[in-house]
Amino acid sequence: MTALSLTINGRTYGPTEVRDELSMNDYLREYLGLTGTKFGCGAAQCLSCAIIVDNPDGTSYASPTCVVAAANFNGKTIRTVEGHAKNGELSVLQKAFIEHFAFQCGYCTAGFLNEGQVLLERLAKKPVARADLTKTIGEALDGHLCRCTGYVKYHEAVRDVILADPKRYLV
Amino acid sequence: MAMPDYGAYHFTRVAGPTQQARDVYSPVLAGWVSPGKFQKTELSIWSPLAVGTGAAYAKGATYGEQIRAELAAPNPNLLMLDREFETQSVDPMFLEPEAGIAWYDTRAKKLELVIGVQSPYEAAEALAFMLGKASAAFKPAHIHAQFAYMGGGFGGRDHTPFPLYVTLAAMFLPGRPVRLAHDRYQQFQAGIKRHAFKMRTRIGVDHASGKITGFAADHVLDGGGLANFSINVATVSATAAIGIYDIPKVDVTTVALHSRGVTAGSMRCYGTLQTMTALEVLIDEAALALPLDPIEFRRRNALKAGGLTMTGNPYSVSIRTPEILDRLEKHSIWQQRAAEKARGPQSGIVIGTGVACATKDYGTGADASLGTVEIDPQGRIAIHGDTTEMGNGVGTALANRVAGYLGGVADEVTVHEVDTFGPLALVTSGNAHTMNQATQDAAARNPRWVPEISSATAASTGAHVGTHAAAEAARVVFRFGLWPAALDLWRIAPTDPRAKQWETARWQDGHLAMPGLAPLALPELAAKAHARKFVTGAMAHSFSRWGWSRATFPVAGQTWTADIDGLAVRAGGGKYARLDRAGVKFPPTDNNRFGTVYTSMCGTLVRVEIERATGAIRIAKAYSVLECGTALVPELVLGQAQGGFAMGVGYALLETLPPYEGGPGNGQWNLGQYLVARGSDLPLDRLKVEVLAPVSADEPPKGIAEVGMIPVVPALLNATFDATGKRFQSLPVTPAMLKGALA
Repeated sequence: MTALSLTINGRTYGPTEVRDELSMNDYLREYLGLTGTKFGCGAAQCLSCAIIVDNPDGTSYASPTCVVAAANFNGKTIRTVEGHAKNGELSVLQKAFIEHFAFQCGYCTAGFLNEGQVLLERLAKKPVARADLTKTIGEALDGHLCRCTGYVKYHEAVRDVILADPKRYLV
Repeated sequence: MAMPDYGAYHFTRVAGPTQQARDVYSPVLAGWVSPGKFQKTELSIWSPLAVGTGAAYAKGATYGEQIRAELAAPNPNLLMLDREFETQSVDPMFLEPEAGIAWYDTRAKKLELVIGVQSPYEAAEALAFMLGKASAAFKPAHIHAQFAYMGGGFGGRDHTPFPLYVTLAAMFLPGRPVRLAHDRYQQFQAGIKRHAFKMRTRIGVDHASGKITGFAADHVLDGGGLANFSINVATVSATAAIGIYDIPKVDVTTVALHSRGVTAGSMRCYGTLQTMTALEVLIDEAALALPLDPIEFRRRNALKAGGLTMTGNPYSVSIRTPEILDRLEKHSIWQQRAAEKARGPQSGIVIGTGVACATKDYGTGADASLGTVEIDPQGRIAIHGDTTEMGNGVGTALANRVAGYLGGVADEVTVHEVDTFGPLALVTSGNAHTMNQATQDAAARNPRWVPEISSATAASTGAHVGTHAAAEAARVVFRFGLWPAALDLWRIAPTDPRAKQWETARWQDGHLAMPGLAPLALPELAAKAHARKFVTGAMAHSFSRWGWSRATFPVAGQTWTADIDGLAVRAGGGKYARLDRAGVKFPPTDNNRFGTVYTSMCGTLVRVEIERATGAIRIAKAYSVLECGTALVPELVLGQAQGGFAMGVGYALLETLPPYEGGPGNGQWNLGQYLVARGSDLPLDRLKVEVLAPVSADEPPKGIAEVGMIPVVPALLNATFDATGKRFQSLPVTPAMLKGALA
């Protein structure tokens, strides 16, 4: 058993005694009711379960939750899809997803949103050349599976957010 | 123990001697024929002399054998190709594995269930059927089934047995909440699969004219271990076997077999994907053998408006194939194919271009639509429908279609409703697909009877079927609610000629406009309609058997004739009151002989680059052009086309499941082994989708969520042939196969 404490979307949780084999996906969904994080394959192949982990150094990365034990997140700070909107207002990327009709069934959307947000924040710290943008977005999102949309509109939504603020994201 | 096979049909059409002449023989003239029994002997089950097939079968089969004999006879004027093609088993791979929760309250004898399926009404019926004969301890007095949004469906949640398992779990654990949820391994193991096909096709083409003279094909489907939907897949695939073409002599046999494989059933483009892929690859080969330009060959043989399909009936909707072929021909991917191909050798790659064109039915020939539309005194619109949402966007389509009649986008849309249409008090009996006319006529005397109450949702029926009843309900609310309210506000007397001009009124920016009159805002109209107790809500049902039901209803002291067969209305804030129909006309049962009358078309071009050293294939560019009548939600049409392209790429190049040992039945399959298309497999910024404008401002919406996938697959195969010189006759075409072809 592990006494799990962590910060999710700015709120601290725990300590909570959890089984060591309890997946982070089950912890979020079953213990906390944060069901925006989905379960797709249980093998870290589709990343519909991905959340954001915020490192102490200010960097972030997207992590699967289906194959990672909740105990591994002890002491960490994470964000889930429930944490993107602030004071009832959707984030810029969430708005872009809606405006582009980026998702259809929506099951993969939380994963794409988290990965896209990580990319935006990374580019804000380390911009890329305009010529490399398509490749950069493609590489960032390629781990995520979508069976409905054909991916085009997800990529367009992320690209348009970046192009709307080139001073921030592009060199 | 040997299990029965799932069914077999034989479709034969012999056209008359001229375009205008009546067919000599067709399924529409003679009915659909089946050999009726399955023989495990050397004698083909298709022979007209086969034991026990009956005279009707023998007549059709005799025409069929004549067609085959003509194709087989030596004829220097005829190009005859005889080819085999195999397709694989694949998984729908919707991202949300099947799951459900249930609870059986033993004291109240009430079963509560929440689950996501494409066919809510059918699932509820199935539960009642299963528990109907249970002993008292396991027999609910009431079943309350609630249906949920789905994380993808693609046909795999249609006719799924999963709700039965959830129910059984609850019944055997009474008083406890039960959740049953597949993980991905279990979903691969038990979920419905696409049928694997083995096909043999013969086609004859007149050298002089480039016209196809005859076509014969034999399809064998692997239905897997449980009877699910195989015979429907078999008949749809057979009646789609000649795709976009007009062929005067056609003979197609189809049989769905039981096997020890995982159960196969409905999946996006079921049947048509398999047979039209084989067809379009064969068409490409025939064109090059003649030789004729592949697009010109298609143009010469494409079915034109008024022409007959292989079941012997025309389509009732627009046929846009000529325009689609023109667009494909003019596109730069096609125009520059030779120059691009020449570029390959300098880069260690081979380059090829492929084209294909397909047509896809939408609807099943027995489709029901239920919808309620209400407006409150503030002008807020609510829509409720029985259609289901699984990423098809039908909720948005409902809102947009109703907005055309009521001037505003709905504030509330609920879908997958099965138990909110009680005021219609509908009843049904018999099988809408097989009943005869006398049975239908007798049943129709009961004003509550309809051939089918609710039907499953396919993404390609969302626009056409899923929104139909709500659209009709909205028309009633407008005609008998908002329009009289407008007359009241405009102070137009009932005797004024303008009072009958409701069809000329137009919505503009949320206001109802008529020439010479002050525009009226929707809330103002709604408030007046409620105050005057005009119609503020309507609940409608309709049924389509390749044509909608039609009936007349008494509404607010007038008569209303529309494409519906059930109607209830409310006045002001009152309760719904059902209205007795008169003069109902259900589509005739002979329509069951049609393959389809509703179809949409799509053509695709792809350019591929294949590395000689590795066989790795890259889709460099692609273009799809499709038509959908009036697009209810253009963004979703585009999304369906893009998603269909991705699924087509997966089917052509990536996805496969071994049928038996080592296949998904072993419970060890997951996405590390089963490859679906990722973004990097697709030409995301080099895929152009064009949607043709409707033929007229009032052209109804067509279903397109399936057709966009089909031509992608044969276009890719034709492109790999162009690149490698190897004609692949099975799927998927893997890098190893491509490398071998280039060795």
